[in-house]
Amino acid sequence: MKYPIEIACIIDDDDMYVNLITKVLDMKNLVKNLLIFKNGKEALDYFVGALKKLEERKIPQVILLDLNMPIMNGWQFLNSLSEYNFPELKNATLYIVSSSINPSDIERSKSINLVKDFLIKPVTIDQLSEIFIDTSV
Amino acid sequence: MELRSIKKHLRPSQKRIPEEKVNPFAIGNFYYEEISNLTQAGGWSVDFVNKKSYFDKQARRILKVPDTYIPTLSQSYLFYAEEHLQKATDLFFTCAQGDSFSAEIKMVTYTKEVFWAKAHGKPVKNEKGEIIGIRGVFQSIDQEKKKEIQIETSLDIIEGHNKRLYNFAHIVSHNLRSHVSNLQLTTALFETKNLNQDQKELFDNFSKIATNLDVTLKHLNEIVTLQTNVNKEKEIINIEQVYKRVIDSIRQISLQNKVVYYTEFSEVEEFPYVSAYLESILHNLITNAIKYKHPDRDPEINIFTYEEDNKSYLVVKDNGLGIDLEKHGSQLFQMYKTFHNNEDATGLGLFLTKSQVESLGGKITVESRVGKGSKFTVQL
Repeated sequence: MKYPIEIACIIDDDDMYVNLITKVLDMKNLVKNLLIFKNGKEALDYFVGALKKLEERKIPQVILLDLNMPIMNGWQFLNSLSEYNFPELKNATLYIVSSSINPSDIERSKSINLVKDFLIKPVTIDQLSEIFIDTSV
Repeated sequence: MELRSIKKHLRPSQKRIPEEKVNPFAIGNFYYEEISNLTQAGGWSVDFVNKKSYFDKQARRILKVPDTYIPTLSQSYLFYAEEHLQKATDLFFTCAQGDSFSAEIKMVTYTKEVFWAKAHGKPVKNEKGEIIGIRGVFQSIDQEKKKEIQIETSLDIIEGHNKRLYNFAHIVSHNLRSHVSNLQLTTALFETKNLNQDQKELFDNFSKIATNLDVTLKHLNEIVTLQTNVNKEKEIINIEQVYKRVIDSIRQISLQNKVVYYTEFSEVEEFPYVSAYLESILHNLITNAIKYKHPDRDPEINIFTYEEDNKSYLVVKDNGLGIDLEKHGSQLFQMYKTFHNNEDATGLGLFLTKSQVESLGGKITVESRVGKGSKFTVQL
């Protein structure tokens, strides 16, 4: 079976939300391998590990990042990740997905290169499909 | 009594009396004393040559010194609050060098009561231009100063309060939105094909409820953001530019509804305002005019500015349905009050517009006739 995206990841501490998104992605067969990280630190450890070992195949093509998480939140994750300056990250498409409608959050996301767009929860099924299919092209 | 008789009575005696004692407007002791009494300001001086200090009657009264007290320069430090002693020393020093001073300073009375004072001082020079002393006046401003400090403290408290409320609203709305978003996703994923008609209807409610929750939270956020942006800086805005931006953004609905726009901005082309607010206000008023167009005719919207009594006004006038102001006038600008069964009517638009206009110090009023149209006037 051909999937638009080989590997993607969700970085979010809301279990219910993660379950629902996973269901949508399964239902629409949008991704082959879905990684889940509960906070920025878990995600950062994975990324740094994979990138240092030059295991490019393991880098998610689509990243859905939440902002409010314990231990290491979305902003901290982005800061830390950009400090490493991995060129391979250029191929990853990162979306901030947050319940926040705080204009300052949206403004801030615009200034970070890694971020492709700021999506406000709830992300609709159609929006998700679009993201995954567009990225695969 | 006739005027002539009064004059007889008041005929000056033979002894000549110095003019200042008789003419109240002659410059001299009387005038000075009365001013001193009125302003509660005391005079002081320091004579470097004779090494003498002087407090006048008011000064003695303010400082509560006993009648027998003789001021000296070496003892003057006693009249200044400890934390301002250095300031007082510096002021006197610079004055003795030739620079006059004017300052607010914390002083202490003979009876050890602390009070805020305003003091002026100037050097005294002899004929050769040498500085031989300094002198000045001071006044107790204790009441005013205390009030000033009280107001500043209140302001700080209120600001802190507002910040906390703002953060609270954001956190709450953020968390609520997370739950609403999950609810929406869940209802979207739910397979309804196995439900019977009744169950399906009930299930649809979930979806509607979630949407309504979402919209209400969005409104909450808009209003909270608005309240906290009151300190936004005004800049000079060109109304024509903002108008063009708004029209561009609603091109589709303008075409669909065959709207004709008339504009006249020559009387007031530019004014200090907040660009985002002006855009929002214009957008809301124009889209309302289109939304509530009259079914029998194409909408014509007139947007113009004018000046009257040194105030600038922006007007959006339409030929739409009009509003029954007698019935709804008082509720027009309130939250969540709609008057037409228009699906798009959120009831929030005019409330937001009014909030925006007023937050920048303006006013918004409406004139309308049912069946004829409405005219919204914004005093900028």
